[in-house]
Amino acid sequence: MDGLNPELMRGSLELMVLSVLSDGSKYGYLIQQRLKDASDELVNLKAGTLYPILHKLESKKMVRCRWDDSTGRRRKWYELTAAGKKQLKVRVDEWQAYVDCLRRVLGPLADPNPLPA
Amino acid sequence: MPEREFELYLSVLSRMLRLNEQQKNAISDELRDHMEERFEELVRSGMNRDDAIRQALDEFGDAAGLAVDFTNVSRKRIRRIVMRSTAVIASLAAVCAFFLTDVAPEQPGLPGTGQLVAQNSKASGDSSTADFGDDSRSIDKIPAASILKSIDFVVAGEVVTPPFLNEPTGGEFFETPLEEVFEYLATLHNISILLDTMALDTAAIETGMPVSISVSPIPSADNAKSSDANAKNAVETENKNAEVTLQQSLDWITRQYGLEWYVEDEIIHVTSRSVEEEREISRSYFIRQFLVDGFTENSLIDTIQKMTGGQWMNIDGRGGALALVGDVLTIRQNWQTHREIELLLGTLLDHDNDSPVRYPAESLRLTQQIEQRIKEVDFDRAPLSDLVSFLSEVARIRIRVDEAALDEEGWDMDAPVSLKMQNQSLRTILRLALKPLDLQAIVHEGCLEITTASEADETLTTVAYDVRNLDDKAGQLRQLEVAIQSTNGGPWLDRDGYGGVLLMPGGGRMLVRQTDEGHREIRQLLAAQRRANSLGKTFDSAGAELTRSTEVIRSARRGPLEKRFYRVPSETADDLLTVLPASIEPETWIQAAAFEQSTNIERSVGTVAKVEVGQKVVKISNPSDDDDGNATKGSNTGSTTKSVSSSTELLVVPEAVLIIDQTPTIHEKIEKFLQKLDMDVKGVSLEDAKQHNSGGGMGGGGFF
Repeated sequence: MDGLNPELMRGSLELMVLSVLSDGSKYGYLIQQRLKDASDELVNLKAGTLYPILHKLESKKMVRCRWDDSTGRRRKWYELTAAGKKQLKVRVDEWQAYVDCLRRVLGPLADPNPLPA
Repeated sequence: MPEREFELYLSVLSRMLRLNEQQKNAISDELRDHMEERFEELVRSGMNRDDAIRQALDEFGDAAGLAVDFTNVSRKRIRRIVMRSTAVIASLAAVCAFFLTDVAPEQPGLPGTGQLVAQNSKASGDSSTADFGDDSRSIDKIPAASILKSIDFVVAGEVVTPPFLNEPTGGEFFETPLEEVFEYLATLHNISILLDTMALDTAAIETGMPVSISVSPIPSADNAKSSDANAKNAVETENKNAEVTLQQSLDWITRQYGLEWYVEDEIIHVTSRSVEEEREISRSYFIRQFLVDGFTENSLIDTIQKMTGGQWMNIDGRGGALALVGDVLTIRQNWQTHREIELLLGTLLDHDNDSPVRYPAESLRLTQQIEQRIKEVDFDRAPLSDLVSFLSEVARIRIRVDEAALDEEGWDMDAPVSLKMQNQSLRTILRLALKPLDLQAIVHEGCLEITTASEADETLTTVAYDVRNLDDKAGQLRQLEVAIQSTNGGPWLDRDGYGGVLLMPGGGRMLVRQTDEGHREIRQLLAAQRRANSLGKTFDSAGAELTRSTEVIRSARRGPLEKRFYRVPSETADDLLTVLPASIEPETWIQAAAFEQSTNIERSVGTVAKVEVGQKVVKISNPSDDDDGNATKGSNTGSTTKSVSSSTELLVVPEAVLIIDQTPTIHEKIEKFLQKLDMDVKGVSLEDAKQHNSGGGMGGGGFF
């Protein structure tokens, strides 16, 4: 499969970004790499997509940021706020419920073992 | 260093960002860091420098699009809520807005009503607690009008609308801080209401924003005066109708101040519109009963997507999605859209009458109430708030003002209105008074609301109309659709690229999403259509059968009716349709005018209808050759034996047949009348027609 259906992915991008931040603060480029690695390169988020999402999460106070000048370049680090952690949990639960629901609905169609021909 | 290219991109981006310098610099710094790191990595992996620069920039996409995305995230809508306590408001408060105070019983621990309303010290606290006559009301009473019966078809996912939303509520707020309004409602209903302060902050809405709104029932005119027991019963019924539910009050408050709300785990969340819109949840709906009811899977999905306000991935490129497996439709959408879907599905199952999807009972009542006559209005450059208070009190109708919308166009409650008229309907008065300000009064969320014309154009509501009386096989549904879309001012999505949608999804329903004014026009058109139908004036376009249904008409006939066919040129036919009934024994015809005066109907029995039958080639002879005095003769009738002279011209004339149902006496008069018009047209009965056909097509009758 060449990448994922972007329509399917679109609703989950915020969730994925939040989840990448759950084990500690990261800067934009690092988040992008982590998403790529964690998904076996299926999720290759364009920078032009990632930063508006990060800024939206910031404006919704799901993440907070701090600047770091120690590398010689100004670098912006993001980390989850308490609200972000809560939101992440809610979204994960929602997603789980959705997947469960879809699996029930799809029934045998979504069976990992293909039916004999 | 590839700095030049990156800086160029960043400066282009910066120029397009509608943000302050500090925000622009922060974005530039962040993106520069990313570009450089990406560039270094690409070079390390063996890419040449130019390609690496291009690649790093490509991944950001075009600067203009990115600028829009960033600006949308950060831009704060500047809001200006102006609530001025003018002398006029204060004086009106005593007679109108304030004497309701609070209908809900005082409960221990409730914030005192006084505390919430008494912020306007001029409002007289004593006179304001007018006798409302029903202290026995309890808030666990659920109004029958808006109970949802739709829960049955939700098979998975949280209940969207828990029952407490339908509890009757009450409250008068005047410049009460927003958070206190919700605190009050929460205590009153013993529920939790959470304000999403972060979202409100982003939308530049303060939790302390002063809110002025009444969510108490409007008492009927008699209510204030009457004290005897009989009248009290009537008043209670009336009050029941005027009841305001919790969800209605939430809808009003949030609409008025540009907010949105949703329910999660039985907790009401108040947040900004954009946050609610993006908060999608999944639910599954069991749809078999709709398929049994005449819908197809596609028409139902189409209906859900086009008749609700939500955005959809497959249509709008963003928003919700749906998947159908067997009889289960799983939908991912925001809460408000699910709520609308649930109401829509409930309405579709309810086959009774025309029914608005949201607040049906309230909306239908309002469409009648708005037609009531107001004795006199006389305003000369008075503030809008005066007019609203006055009309609201005289008509006993709640009139809300969509302040968020007015505010956007620079209006507030002080906008000047001038109007002087007598004995006009409330609707007319509002239309004339508001038009100069480009404002409109619309029925929305079960309430009369004053908003801007542009907001009114965008406020679409869905109504399910009952069209079971129309004959689909005869193409009447299609005709109705065309009639509505061509006579209705619209706008229509199909035609204008934005606006309303009309669907005939099956099941005897016509679904229309339109503005309030659009729905009013449709109601009128359907009312005319139904009157015509009930009088048996439906005409089967496929053939020549008039249907007469009512026994009233049958018994009232003066002599047996006979159907005769008159073949006439098409252009004359239209005139004859109106001229004949008007000129020959007018009282014996069913006419449009007669619909209005039901007294005439029993005596009016004749009908006339027109059907186009194609074209006829006509020979026009030189007048000097014409010895029988008739200018035209049909060549296809075979009745002319005279050879065609060289001066004869051939004309193609579209023809029509008038099908007239009348007594033989009237038929004779019609023929004489037509002869006077120089038309040699004979009415042909069905029997005549058959004879003519079998007899080789003698004059004039052979059109079967």
